[in-house]
Amino acid sequence: MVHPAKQKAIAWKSWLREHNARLYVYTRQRTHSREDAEDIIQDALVRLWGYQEERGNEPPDLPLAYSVLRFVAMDHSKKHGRKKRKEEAMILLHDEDDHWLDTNAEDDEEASLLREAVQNLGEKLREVVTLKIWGGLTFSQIAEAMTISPNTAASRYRYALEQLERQLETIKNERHG
Amino acid sequence: MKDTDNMNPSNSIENKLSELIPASLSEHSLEKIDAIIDDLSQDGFSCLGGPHHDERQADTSVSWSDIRQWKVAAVFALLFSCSLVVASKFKLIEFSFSSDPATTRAGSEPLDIQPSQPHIMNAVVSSTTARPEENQQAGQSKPLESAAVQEQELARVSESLSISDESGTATLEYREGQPWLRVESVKGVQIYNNYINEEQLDLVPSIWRDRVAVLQQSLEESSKLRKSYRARYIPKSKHGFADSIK
Repeated sequence: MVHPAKQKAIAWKSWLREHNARLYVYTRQRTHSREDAEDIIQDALVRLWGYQEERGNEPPDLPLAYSVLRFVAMDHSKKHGRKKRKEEAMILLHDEDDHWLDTNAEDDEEASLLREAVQNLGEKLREVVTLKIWGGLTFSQIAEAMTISPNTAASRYRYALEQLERQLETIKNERHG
Repeated sequence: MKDTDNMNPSNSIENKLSELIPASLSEHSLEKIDAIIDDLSQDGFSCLGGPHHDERQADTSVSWSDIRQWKVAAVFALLFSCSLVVASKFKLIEFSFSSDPATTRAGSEPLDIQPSQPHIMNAVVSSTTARPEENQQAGQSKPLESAAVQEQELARVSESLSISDESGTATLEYREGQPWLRVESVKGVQIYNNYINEEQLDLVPSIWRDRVAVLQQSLEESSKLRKSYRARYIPKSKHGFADSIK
C-alpha cells in the first residue's frame, strides 16, 4: 500500500505534468527570462501547497494556480525589477532563442508573425489571451484569477484579437513591402 | 458566460493562435519541482530544506513577530490608559485643557480649588497682571479659598488694560469707580500714576493722552461683556417652571 504522503506527491506531480505548459506560458509572458519563470513556478507551488493543506493537500484548481502565479510574479517583478532593468540589454541578447511559445511547431511564416504580435500586445490583453487560448480557462475563471469582471475579461480578449489582426497585417505589409 | 465564451470576433486569428504550441518547463526544472513536492509531502513545512523553505520561514517569522509587537503595543497602550483613568479618579493627576494661568496655579494646590467660585480665582489671577504689588500681598497673606471677597470688588480690582510700545507702557484700571492711569517708560521710570479726569488729563504726556480714550473704551466694553450673563435654558416641569413650584 502506498503511503498517503507519497500519494499526494504523485497527485501533485501528475497535475504539474498535465498543466506544465499552461503554467509556464502564463508565467513566462509575465517575466523576462525562462529562469525567472521557473523560479516563480517553484515559489508558487510551495505557496499553493500551503493553501491546499486546508483542503486535504489536493492539487489546486487552475484559476487558483494562475492567481497565485500572478501574485508571485508581481511580487518577483517588484523585488527584482530594478536589477532586471539594469541587465535588460544583456537579457535581450541572451533571450533571442528563449521563446514562451514553442517555435519548433511553426512551419509557416504567419505563425512566426503571430507569435511576435502576441508578444507585442499590452500586458493586460496578453494575459487574457494567454489564459484563454493556452491556459484553458473560461472568461469567468479568467475573471476570478485576474480579479476583474467577466465582461472586462471578454472585452479585453475581443480587443486583443482585433489588435492582433491589425498587427499581423501591418507586419505582413512591412515585410512584403 | 457561455455566450461570451463563444463570442469570436476573429475566428481565423483565434484558430491560428491555438495552433501555436506553448513552451514548457525544462526537464531540469521539473526535476527540481518534483524534489520540492517530495519534501513538502514527506516532511511538511516544518522540515523543508532548500532556499524556498528558508525564505518562506523567514517571511513567516517576520510577520509573526510583527503581529506580536502590535499585540504587546496594544496591551501597553491599554494598561497606560487604564492607569491614567485610575490616577485621575484618585486625584493623583489632574487634567487641564485650559491655557488659563489660574488653572495651572490651582493645579499645584488642589485642595484650595473651589470649583463653585471660578470668578474669584479669575479675579485674583487677573489682578496679577494689573497690580503686582497688591497681588503679592493678597497671594501671600491669603490662600485662594480664603479670598472671600465680593465679586464686584474683585472685578473692579482685576479690570485693567495696558498698552505698550517702544516708549513705554500705559495701564488703565478702575479704582473706586474712577479711571486710574499708570504710565512707565521702558526702563521702568514712572511717568504718570494718578486718576485721570479732565483736569488731570493735561498732565499726561501727549503721546499717551490720545490712547487713554481707546484704553478706556476697550476696558468698558470688556467689562460689559464680562457682566453679560449666558443665556440659560430652564426645563419646564410638570407643574410649570421650577420657580413656580411651591
